[in-house]
Amino acid sequence: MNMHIHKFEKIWLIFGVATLLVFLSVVGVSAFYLGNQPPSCLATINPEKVDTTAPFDQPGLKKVKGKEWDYELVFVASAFQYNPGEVEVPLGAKVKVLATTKDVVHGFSVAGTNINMMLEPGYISEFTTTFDKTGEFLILCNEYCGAGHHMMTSKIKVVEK
Amino acid sequence: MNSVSEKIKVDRRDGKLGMAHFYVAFIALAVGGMAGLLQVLVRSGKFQLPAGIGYYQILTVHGVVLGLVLTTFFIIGFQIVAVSRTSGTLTNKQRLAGWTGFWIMTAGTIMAAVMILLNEASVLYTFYAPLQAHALYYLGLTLVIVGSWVDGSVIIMAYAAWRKKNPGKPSPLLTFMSLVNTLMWIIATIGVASTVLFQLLPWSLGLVETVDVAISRTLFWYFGHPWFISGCCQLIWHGM
Ligand code: HEM
Ligand SMILES: [Cu+2]
Repeated sequence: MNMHIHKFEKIWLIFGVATLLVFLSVVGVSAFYLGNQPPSCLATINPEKVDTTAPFDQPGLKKVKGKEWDYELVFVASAFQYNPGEVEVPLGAKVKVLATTKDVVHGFSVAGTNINMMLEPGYISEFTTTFDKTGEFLILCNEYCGAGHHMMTSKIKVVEK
Repeated sequence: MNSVSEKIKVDRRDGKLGMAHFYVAFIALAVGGMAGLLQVLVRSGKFQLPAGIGYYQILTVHGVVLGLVLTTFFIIGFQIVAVSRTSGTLTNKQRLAGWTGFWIMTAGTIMAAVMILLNEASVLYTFYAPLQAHALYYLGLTLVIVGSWVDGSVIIMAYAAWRKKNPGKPSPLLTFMSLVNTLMWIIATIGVASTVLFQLLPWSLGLVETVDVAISRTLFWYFGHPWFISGCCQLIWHGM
């Protein structure tokens, strides 16, 4: 077989394969070396027993001891609301947000911050952050969940204490 | 100099098959464009949808007909014409496969459309479980995909026939591009077809109680990513 590949085609192919390798390596290093993971990663829950499973049996803010974070902020989502519907967090607190859903897929996006998770039935989504600005932060559902999707909100108030 | 009729040498019967696909694509564009316009009007806050039609119903129409129907019909129609133009007129058998695929896809489109219009499938074009639509919506989407495979077999058969007739020669570029695109499409759609057939359809019929939502969504996007990518490439090379 005489396979002739034009010089430009060769350059183009090498460029394409190289980009592929670079991007795949970035994802690999991020996941396996830096330990980055999506907010819902392997932590599971029975979606029918959310209300009786700790910590989701007590939604809201809780002070914790002996952990890398000072507070745990627990949210339960269901069509079309979050529990709690509003919560106060002290300024500067290091908080681990834990959230799950009782029914369909919901979003959990806190406007003006980099908190943005997907809540899937059967999975627990987690995000650890420090609230270092006072003010009211709107929580929005950004995954379509049904007729009332656009009205599904909650609020985090960061206050000085 | 070539006359126009010499330049555009697509067999009339193949042209008709291609045009049938384009007609559905253009109807989809018109319907989807209307839906898009209504979305903007509703969002402006100055307009309310009449007769109890829901915003998400319109959005589902928009996503399905523009995202799934328009793209699929347009690409397949284009490829059929491109292959006929560059590798020669289709055989009767190939053309029959083309029409069969076309009608399966069209029947599926109509089924899905009716279910959306009846507000039985306001689940958006991503239909993330456990939001649930009527079984006929899933069946309709399955038919669109299966029809596209039958349609795609035309491209594969035409390429194979050309290969046999012209051993050792490089195949016409447009035919080769269509072939590769068809193969990518088939590999990609295996994902969405399997979640719909093996998970969502049995579940919407009540045959199984639950679906694994993570697997379902993964399978959907196994299809979704290559489909977006191939859609973008298509737009570029159709433009050329
Ligand atoms: C006629 C012009 C168009 C208008 C005015 C329009 C308008 C819109 C608007 C306002 C949305 C957002 C809806 C929302 O999230 O509330 C949307 C979503 C979308 N549009 Fe368009 N659009 C147009 C054309 C197109 C075309 C040509 C395509 C595809 C080829 C397309 C595909 C989509 C898809 C896939 C979505 C997401 C649907 C979903 O979330 O379920 N649109 N469009
Ligand atoms: Cu929602």
